[in-house]
Amino acid sequence: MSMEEWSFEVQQKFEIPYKYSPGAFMSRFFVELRDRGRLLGARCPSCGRVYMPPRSICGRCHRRIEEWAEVGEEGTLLSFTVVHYKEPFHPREAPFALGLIKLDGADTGLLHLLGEVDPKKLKVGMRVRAVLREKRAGNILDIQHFRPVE
Amino acid sequence: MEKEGTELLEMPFTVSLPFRFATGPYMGRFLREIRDNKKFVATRCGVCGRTLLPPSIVCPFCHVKTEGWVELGTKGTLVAFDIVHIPAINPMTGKPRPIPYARGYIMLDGGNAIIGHFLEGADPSKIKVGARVEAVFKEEGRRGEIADILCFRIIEEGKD
Repeated sequence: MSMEEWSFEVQQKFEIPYKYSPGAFMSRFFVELRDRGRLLGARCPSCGRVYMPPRSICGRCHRRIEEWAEVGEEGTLLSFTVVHYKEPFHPREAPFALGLIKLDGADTGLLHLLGEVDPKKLKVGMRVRAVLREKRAGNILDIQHFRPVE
Repeated sequence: MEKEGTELLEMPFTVSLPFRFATGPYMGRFLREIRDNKKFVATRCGVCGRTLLPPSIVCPFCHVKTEGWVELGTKGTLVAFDIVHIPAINPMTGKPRPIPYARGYIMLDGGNAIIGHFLEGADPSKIKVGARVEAVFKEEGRRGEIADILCFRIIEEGKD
């Protein structure tokens, strides 16, 4: 056996247990989503921008944000990408689409999965709606995906 | 804004990261011998005489190309050990290792290379520096990885 043939590949897997703490601010967002199915954005007291996902400090004014603003379950697709390759850690079987969605009443885009749609029919500017899970756990996948509005 | 009594969420989950490990030629030959023949091979430096494990192309001490391969024994002598009481997470399973467990550093027969691995048992009164140990290999399903060696077991001289 020549040196070139010594090399080979071993399939392995890391399993990394992890606990994510969203903190006081984002916990409120997730609790509201879990218990009442409402989507809360955060409004900057200085510039009035509504952040979705919410953030506790305005990225432009650097002011602390203390006001929640409910945003709609529907919104506009700002951008999207279609994933064609398969990896075991993907959230869906390929092909699947990810979209940046500006919900009604929000000024920023929320990145999430797009579902119930042929990826070929996606268009920037189309209207989409959040599909919430029946059983919610208090994380971002309580929104199953966004689907196009008929 | 956060009123008293706001529920603080915690989200436990396990990240699974599958990957392919490419051995490269020298590590490949080392792992191949473990997988196919339950043997240890190392490279040897012609200048300082060290046996190198894992085998390397160049001696890291003398910076010269190693002169070839040597077969080492699957038995050896314990040069150091740790008893571990912290249930460290095994990254391959995501579960804590049962404690206490022992790590051993073993100079394999036929060279001066030291290999680190688990020891069988973790009773400090039974593990001594200088003890003779032997490698315990997985009997079935060796894949060419360090986990193909289950542990090193202390043996009694004369009986092996």
